[in-house]
Amino acid sequence: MERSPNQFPQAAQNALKNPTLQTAMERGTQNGVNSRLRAMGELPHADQLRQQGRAAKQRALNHLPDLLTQFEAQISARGAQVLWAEDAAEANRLILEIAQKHRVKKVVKGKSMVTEEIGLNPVLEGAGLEVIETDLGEFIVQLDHDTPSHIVAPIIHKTREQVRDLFMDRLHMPASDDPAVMTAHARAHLRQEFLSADMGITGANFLIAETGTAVIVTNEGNGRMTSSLPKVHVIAVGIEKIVPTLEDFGTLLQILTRSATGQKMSVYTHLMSGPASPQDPDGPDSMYVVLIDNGRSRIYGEQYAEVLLCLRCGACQHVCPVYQNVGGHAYGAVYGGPIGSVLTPLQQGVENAHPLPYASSLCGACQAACPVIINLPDMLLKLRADLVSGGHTEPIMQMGIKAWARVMQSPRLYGLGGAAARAGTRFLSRGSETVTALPGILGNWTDQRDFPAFAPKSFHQLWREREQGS
Amino acid sequence: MTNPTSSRERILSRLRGSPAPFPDAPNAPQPYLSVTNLPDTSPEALLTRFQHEWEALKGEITITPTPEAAIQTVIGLIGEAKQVMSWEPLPLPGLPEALHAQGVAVARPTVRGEDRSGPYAALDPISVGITGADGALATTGTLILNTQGGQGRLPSLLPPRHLVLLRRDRLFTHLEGWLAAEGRALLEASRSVALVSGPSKTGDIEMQIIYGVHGPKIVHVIVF
Ligand code: SF4
Repeated sequence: MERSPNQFPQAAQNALKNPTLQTAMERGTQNGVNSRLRAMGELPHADQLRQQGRAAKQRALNHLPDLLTQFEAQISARGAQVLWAEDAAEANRLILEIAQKHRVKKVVKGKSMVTEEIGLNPVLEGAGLEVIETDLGEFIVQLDHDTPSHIVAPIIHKTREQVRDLFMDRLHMPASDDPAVMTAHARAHLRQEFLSADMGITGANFLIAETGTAVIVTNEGNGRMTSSLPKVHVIAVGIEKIVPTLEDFGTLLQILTRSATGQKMSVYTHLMSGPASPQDPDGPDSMYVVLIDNGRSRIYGEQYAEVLLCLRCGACQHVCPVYQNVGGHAYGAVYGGPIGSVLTPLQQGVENAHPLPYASSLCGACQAACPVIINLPDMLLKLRADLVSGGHTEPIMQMGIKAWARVMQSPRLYGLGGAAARAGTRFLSRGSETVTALPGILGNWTDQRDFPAFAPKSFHQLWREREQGS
Repeated sequence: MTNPTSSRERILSRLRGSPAPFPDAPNAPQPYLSVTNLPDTSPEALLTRFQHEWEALKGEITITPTPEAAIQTVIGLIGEAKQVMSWEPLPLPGLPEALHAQGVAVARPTVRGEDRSGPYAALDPISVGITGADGALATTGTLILNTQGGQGRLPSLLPPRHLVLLRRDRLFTHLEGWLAAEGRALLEASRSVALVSGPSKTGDIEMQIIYGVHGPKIVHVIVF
């Protein structure tokens, strides 16, 4: 499997030629789009709520350092330990040390993108720990030595038939491709893991500063079990998950769930303000919150700080025409789709992910779907500019852009170029609406896309004719 | 654990060294717009809306006229089960005695400390959990389950069937209303508050909804 962002063009080509993936993506993304549209569309004030949510996250980032220390003070007063990790290696080391201190052998995990980001599982497994993903989709991914391809629907790229074969092979399930039968089989298997685990690791969707509360949202209940059954609970969370107040949380939680899965609320919203108290009959004896930076404080000071508003709802992935066709793996990184095309270059360096800012038609569907109205198309454009000014584009692209700039500066050249293009595409399209193969180096474009034929008359021509009254 | 305070200081000083990224961010609105709305907040309207939302989530619900009727409903729902696990105390006086009279054993699980797999394995075969609820949110069909004293998490977590006793005067309009009225105080006093909106479910395999993945498959609310 391609796991480098720089291999996006080839990985995308392969994805387009993979009929199983195409089937799975079509079944999955359409459903995701529809449920979000229903849930946000039924709110007459949806756009005001998105503005309200966006402003709440903006205020959270404006006061980020103070809110982090406020959260830390509140939750530590109830006995939780708060640790800070500058990068992935430090976060992994801290979590491993927690496990070793408590003599942990078996770890159950709730779904967490940040632990994918820091690559936690191999570190724990390398130290001899057993690590079990408990979200059904993540469990399937782990069983198949695969990686998640969507933020909220990790196996959107798999068909039910693939899951059947996997369960028959690895879990000795009798033949069935009924999702109910497969789910029951996984439940029975994972129940035993829950009951015997020593440590639970989850992410958090929100950290509420004013009350010192960490929140995880799940539908299966695995998040609540992971955070309730084992004696130790570790919350691994990015520092940008802070929200200032309960009012802010109230709005953001609900626009998150409506955008992610079309639900008014997820089935389980677990609000955790510390380890179990001495009087509680159950719950973890110890709780740790690992606040993970891993590049966020650097992005915070740059022109891309807006990306830190992201709630990780996955809506921009569902609606993206590129993502819908190539799936999440082609992006070669933890986060695929429009949000990934911005985050990956910022996290890994734009030169290490240079195709991703171009993996977009800039159609704007992502921003239109985003619950906090993140201007993803604008950031993709800025990243393209960074690539050009850093000299990271293909030479042919740079030639093209310089030629374009010269033409744009000269009305006469512009007019000539337009006329030539109109004549040329009329010829190539042979009267149809699209050109499927452009000549010469322009063929690089039509290798992957069709090109619409130019309108017979340019806007300038039409305008001149209109002015002249013809 | 070696957590050099220097990591903490370095992260904070990088953040403090940058100007606020959104100088034009609007102030918090007064009041906040709530995501959902219910024009009629009479007790009847709240219950009607809660029932509607809860059933849409594939939750089950029985509205009973009196506490005595609620006890009979619980006994009927338990059916053949000879053992249940429950909160202590339950908000419905007389229920433990009624269960005893039916020959139903009631476990009140307490599992803390180092070795948990033994006690958990003993509890796992119990098929019914009975709890109260701190309240419910009408517009989203959400139960509020707080942990305190003998009222723990296990009875609403392990068994495949969960029976929830909900007093009809504990209905709130929406999440925002509950957070303002009681949520803030509760979150400061309690370590674990679960908001539960329907039975456990997943859509991971081709987005087909399946109920009862890890948490209870059947959640039956008995309103009294
Ligand atoms: S960028 Fe917006 S739409 Fe995409 S995952 Fe983040 S919050 Fe959701």
